[in-house]
Amino acid sequence: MYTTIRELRETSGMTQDELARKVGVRRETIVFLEKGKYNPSLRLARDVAGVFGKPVEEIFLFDDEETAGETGGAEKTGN
Amino acid sequence: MFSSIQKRYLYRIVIGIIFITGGVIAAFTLPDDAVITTIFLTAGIVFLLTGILRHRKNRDGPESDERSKKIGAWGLSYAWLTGLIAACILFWLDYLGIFRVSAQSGYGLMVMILALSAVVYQAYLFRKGDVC
Repeated sequence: MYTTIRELRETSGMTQDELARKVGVRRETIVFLEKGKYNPSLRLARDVAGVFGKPVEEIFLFDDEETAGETGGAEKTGN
Repeated sequence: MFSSIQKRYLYRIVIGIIFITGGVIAAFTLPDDAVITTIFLTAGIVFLLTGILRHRKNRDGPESDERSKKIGAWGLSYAWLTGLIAACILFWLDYLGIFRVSAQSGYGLMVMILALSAVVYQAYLFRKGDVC
């Protein structure tokens, strides 16, 4: 899994500790989230996305999505 | 000074001080009974240290969150499985006469295996970041 949390957090000038407090988790959880080593619950993913005002799927990217995106093999559905 | 400490850590520190005080009193009033003194002092030191360390680490942030709860639960599950396997091995070793173990030693061994394996599994999972 890959996340854009670090980029978004640094862009908004927020520290890991501040983000952790906003979503009600420990700072270590944010560290592992940014590294893509922790799969968050749907609630936490929604809370993190809410902090940055982005949809969840723009912040949490899975390996198969990245591969599909590079090869152009997958197309997003929806209008 | 104490107003900045979360209540749960303050309780730990106070309980630790009470246990240590009890241990010191027991050491003077019951000089022949080293077991009570040791238990009181050990419990007191553990409560005191965990209270101080957790306060220093977490400050006013949450002590646990979904990740730590998940890892805690998985660590205990792995420890339970390890304990079950260890109990089976101990049973067969004793049954076949390879390693005779008294009930007291068996219980002591199981307590150590369960507690230590839980700590080891949880430490490993915390370093890893997630359970899978």
